[in-house]
Parts: sequence; structure tokens; C-alpha cells
Amino acid sequence: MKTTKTTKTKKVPKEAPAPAVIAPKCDVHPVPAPPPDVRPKVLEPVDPQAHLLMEIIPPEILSVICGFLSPLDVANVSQACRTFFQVAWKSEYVWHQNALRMDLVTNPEGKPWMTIVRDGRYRFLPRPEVTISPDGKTVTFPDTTSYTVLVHPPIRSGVWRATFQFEPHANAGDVAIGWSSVPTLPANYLGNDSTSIDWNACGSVYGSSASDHTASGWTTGDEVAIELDMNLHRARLLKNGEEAGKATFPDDWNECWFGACGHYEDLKCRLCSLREI
Amino acid sequence: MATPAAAAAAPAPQLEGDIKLVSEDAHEFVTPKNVAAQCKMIKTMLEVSEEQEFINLPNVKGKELEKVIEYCRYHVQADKPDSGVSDNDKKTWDENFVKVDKETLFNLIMAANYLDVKSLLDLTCATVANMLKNKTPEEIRREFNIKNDLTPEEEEEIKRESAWLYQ
Repeated sequence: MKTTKTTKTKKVPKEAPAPAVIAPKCDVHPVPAPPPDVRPKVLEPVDPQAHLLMEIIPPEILSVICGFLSPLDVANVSQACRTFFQVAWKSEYVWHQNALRMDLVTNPEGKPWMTIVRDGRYRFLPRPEVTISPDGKTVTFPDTTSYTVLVHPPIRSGVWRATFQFEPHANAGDVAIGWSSVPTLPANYLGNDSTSIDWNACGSVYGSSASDHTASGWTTGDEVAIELDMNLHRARLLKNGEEAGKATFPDDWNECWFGACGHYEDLKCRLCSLREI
Repeated sequence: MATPAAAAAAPAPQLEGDIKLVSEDAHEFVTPKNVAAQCKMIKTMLEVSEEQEFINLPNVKGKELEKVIEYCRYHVQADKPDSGVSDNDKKTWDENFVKVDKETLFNLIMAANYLDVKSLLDLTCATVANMLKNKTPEEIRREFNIKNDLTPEEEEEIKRESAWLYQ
């Protein structure tokens, strides 16, 4: 410490060469390295012309631009700034464009198009043995054997209700709706293994993983629904909006695919809706 | 009131010869009328007055007007059934056509909108949309030098409403 004071108080002639003075000081008092800059980095714009987007393009054309984006891209761009929030997320035009790309062309109830897109993105997963309509909402089963068709994407949290309707006939035990914990079923049929559960038209709940279940039957024209509570791992079974049964499924089923299965000539199943409750 | 048959029998507008297009900054482009008529706005003006020798376009600068004419000239030829130009060739040409700096691209959007060339408007808007795809909000701000001016309430609203997209 003495050395420090001495060095600091020592007068250095003005004409003394700088290196001769600085060198000993550095030896005695090494200058600590500056602390790392922990401030968030401000990214430089990649293109100096970039700001022209907002200056030149009016909001209605920004909406046209955003109309080319997928729903996820719309969400991302809308979180960039208020202008995009208004011209993308809040734009019926943008969501309508997305609905059209998904073949969701009708909106008889006049719902917001974002709702149509959100609910309409659920569709039957294609598989070669069955015929799926272009909008992904109707499956026509073959008359040879039963196949399960799952609905994509799966649900992972919250309470979701999937509603189905069969035509022209649905009164047998091998016409069923249900849910699976895996995207690829070991068996052709829902409920024939430990990874899935079904509720058939005869009013039975099948699946070795199902517990605490009751159910009544249903038939052609009934709107039958399964409501899955992914928090409590409980299922409600509904017929035409009224409770028709219940079941409990394993706690480790972290994601579930709704599905339908059956066979018979011209048997069709329509995914009427899938929405969060 | 004209019957549909009478309307169908009405003479088609003459699109032969050239028309002089004058840009906002006084650049002049002598263009075949059938090329200029790819712009619906110009087509309407030609239909209203077939005898006019020039059309002033006060909202389009020469640089962009030249590009619009280039686009229209190419597609008049390439879109003919017997042109021998494949859809892939046209797609490649379009992709190269919009390889321009951002300022030109944005001005082209405005020109296509003003002149009412829907296919060019779609092409240019889709090009900007491609710049926005697969990017985080922060990357988009950087790409377009945008400041985040969303209020906390708006941020909360969009996070809540878009949760289904991030599941």
C-alpha cells in the first residue's frame, strides 16, 4: 500500500516520456479488466432502407402482405409492434385468407375468422385406407375392415371438446369415437390396447386404461362428443349436448388425439367441431 | 338498359398502337397499348378515351413505372397459350424480377396498387411476406427497424389469444 501512495504522489516532469511513467504504474497497479457488458444487445437493423416499410406502405396493404402469412407467422409479426398488431392480428382479411387456404370457405354464423381458423385447423389425419374430404372434416370409411382416423393436432392442456356425427348408420359396437395417447395406434381399432379409449354406439367404453367409466348408447344423427380435461385427466361423454357418460384416463397421458373408427359401406363421420371449453 | 346479349355485342376497346405513359418525375415511356392495359387503371382510361396520346401517372416514379412495364410486357408474351413458356419458367422470372432493394420493392407495391395490377401486387406483397416468415418478433423488428410500441395490455392480449398457436 505504501508503494501505491508513493507512486501516486510522485510528481512526474511534464517532459518525461510517457511510457517511462506509465510502465511502472501498470506494474504496481494492474488496471482491472472492465466488467462484462450485461446490458441487452441492441441489434442494428440489417438494412438501412428497412424503416421504409412502415413509411411507404399504408395499413391496408400491410394487411395484404400479412394475408400471405401462416397463423403462427401472423402471431409473431403481430408481436413486433402496434401497427402489425392492428393490420395482422386484428385484421379479418388476414384471417379470412388463412381460412381460405385451409378450405374453410363458409362461416354461416359470422364468427370472427380467427375463430374459424383456430377451430378449423383440427382435421382428420390422412391415411391411405380411408377417404378424407378436402377440408379434413369428413372421413368415409371402407366397408372391409375398421380403421381409426385420428384428429390432428393433439391437445395437451386445458379442456377440449370434440363433436362428431355419423351417417347414414351408426348403431353397432364397431362404430366409435375416442381418444389416444399416441399418434400411431398399435391396433386398427380405438380401445383395443392400453394406449387408447373409445365410446361405441352400443354404449360401451373400451380400453384397458379407462377407469371409473359409465356410458349410454347413441345412433345415427346424434351429435356425440368427448370432452377431455387434460388437467384432471377426466373425460365427459356427451350426446346431443347432454352428459351420456364419463371416464378417467391415466395421469401420464400428456397429449391426446381425438379419433373415430368404424366400417360399413358409405359410413361417414363428420368432425363437427373441436374447441376449447 | 342493355340486355346481356347487347352488352356482349358491344365492340371491344381498340388496344392497337402505342400510348405514352408519363411518370411523376416526367419520364416518358412509349408502350404498346395492350401492354399498358395490363394495368386495369390504364385500361379503364384507354376505354374512356381511345384517342388520347399520353397518360399522366402522378403517383408513380419513372424507375418503378419502367419495372411495371417490364413486368407487363413479359407477361403479355409469356401468358399467351402458345408462348411455350412453362409455369416454372414464369415463376423463375417473377422471382428474379423482385430481387431488388427494399425501397424499390416497396415502391413497386405502391405502383402495382395504384395502377391496379393484381398479379404484380400479389407477387410483391408475397415477397415482403417471405421476409417476415419464420422469424421471432425481435427478428422482425431488426429486419425492418421497428420499435416495439405495444402497450403491456396489448402484449398480454395477443399472448393470451395466440396461446393455441404455441402449444
